[in-house]
Amino acid sequence: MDTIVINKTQETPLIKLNGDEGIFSISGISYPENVVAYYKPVFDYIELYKTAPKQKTILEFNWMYFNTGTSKAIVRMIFALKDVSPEFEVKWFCQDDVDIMIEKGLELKEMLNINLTIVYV
Amino acid sequence: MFAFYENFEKENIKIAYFGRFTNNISTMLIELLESYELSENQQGKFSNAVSTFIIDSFRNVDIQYNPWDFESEDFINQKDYLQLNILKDRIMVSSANVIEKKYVQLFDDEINYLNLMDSVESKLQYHGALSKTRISAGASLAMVEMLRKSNHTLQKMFVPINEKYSRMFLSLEVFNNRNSIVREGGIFEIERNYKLLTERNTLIFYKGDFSTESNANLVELVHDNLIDGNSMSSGNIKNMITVIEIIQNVTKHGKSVDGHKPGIFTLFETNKERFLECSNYIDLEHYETFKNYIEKLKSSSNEEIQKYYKKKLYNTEISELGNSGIGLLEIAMFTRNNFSFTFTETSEKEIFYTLIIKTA
Repeated sequence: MDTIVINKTQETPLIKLNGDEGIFSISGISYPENVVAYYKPVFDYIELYKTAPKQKTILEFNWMYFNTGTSKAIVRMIFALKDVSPEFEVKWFCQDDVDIMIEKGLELKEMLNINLTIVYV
Repeated sequence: MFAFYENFEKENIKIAYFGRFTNNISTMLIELLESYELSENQQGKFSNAVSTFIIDSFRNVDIQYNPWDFESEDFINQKDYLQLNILKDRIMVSSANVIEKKYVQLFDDEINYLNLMDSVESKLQYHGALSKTRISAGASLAMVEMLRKSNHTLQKMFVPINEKYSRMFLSLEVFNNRNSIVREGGIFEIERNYKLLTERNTLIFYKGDFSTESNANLVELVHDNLIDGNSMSSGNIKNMITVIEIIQNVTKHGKSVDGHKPGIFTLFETNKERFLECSNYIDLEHYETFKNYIEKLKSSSNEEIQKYYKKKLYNTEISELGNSGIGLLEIAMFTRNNFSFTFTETSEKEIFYTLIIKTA
């Protein structure tokens, strides 16, 4: 699978989708007005990845901040990938003194019952 | 808030900004200002004059002479101001910024001298001679450029702030018709508006367009006011998420007027607490549904709000317009329901809606 890189803009994050490694990374700020339209290439790529997934799939998030539309896109991404591979992990990168981001990670872990690791940077 | 908004409307102030000025903010303001469509005969003059005014007055004059620290106790005092009035026969662009008192006489003399000169050439010659010996080349050229775009006098006023600093008010009018006359006293209106904003302990104020095209610039403008560098505290993250949600709410649900989504956004301080305030028009047809929703939200407990938020987040359905449907819920969670709202009936077809939120 080709690796896809979508560069960050004023309102959208850096996205790296590496199907060969099974690693999907998103970092930065995300507040596109229409998240459905913006994240469509990501979901299209995930659909393609599902046809030949790796043993382990890793979803990495390193957010500065994001809007509520992006919150839903994150949940949707997790739903789309969590049962694709035998092993699935979400790596949630954040600073150890930024409580709100830690809370958001833990909230997802609890709500979606997933293997989510908080990684302090 | 509606009376405040209406006063700005009566003066045909299409865009006003009160806050910090950086190079990045200047660029964003130019883009926000240029998004306003004007009649064909104004367009060319407008974009040139406004861009020149902002770049020259804030980059060359203000930043050069404004050494105050954003985090200092004089935070409120150091706010700058930009205002754009669009009238049928002219546009007026005005500013307020801080200069050191020792430069007041120099600026005053130079503007008086330039206002008396007839031709652009003589003004440029004057600039060449002056810039080597008196105020900076950038600032001097800025004055000449402003006048060159206008073909009329540059109005000015200097108001002392303290022993060391003064506030310089400038106003430039650009006309369709060369025979039009500059309004007497226009500069006093700028000073009055500036005063009104400082009296409300305003930290950031924006009146203007909230449409899709303006969205990212507006969010970044607030970001640059609130955050220095890349270091983000939990409080700042919550505030930025709140800002994004309220701005995008206006973009998506605000009433369109002449192709724009007009509104007001303010960050102000009272009793050492900070509040975000946002106002916009909504269509009467959406009023009852929205009013019921926000009233129900306001009367809910924190536990109820959290439960409802999780339920809605778990349901990943997003509308075609990209509406998550959880923006207000997240704001309510962040503030522990510390928000208020008003609805003012302004006509048979529209309602003026104001949301006030305590910041994190």
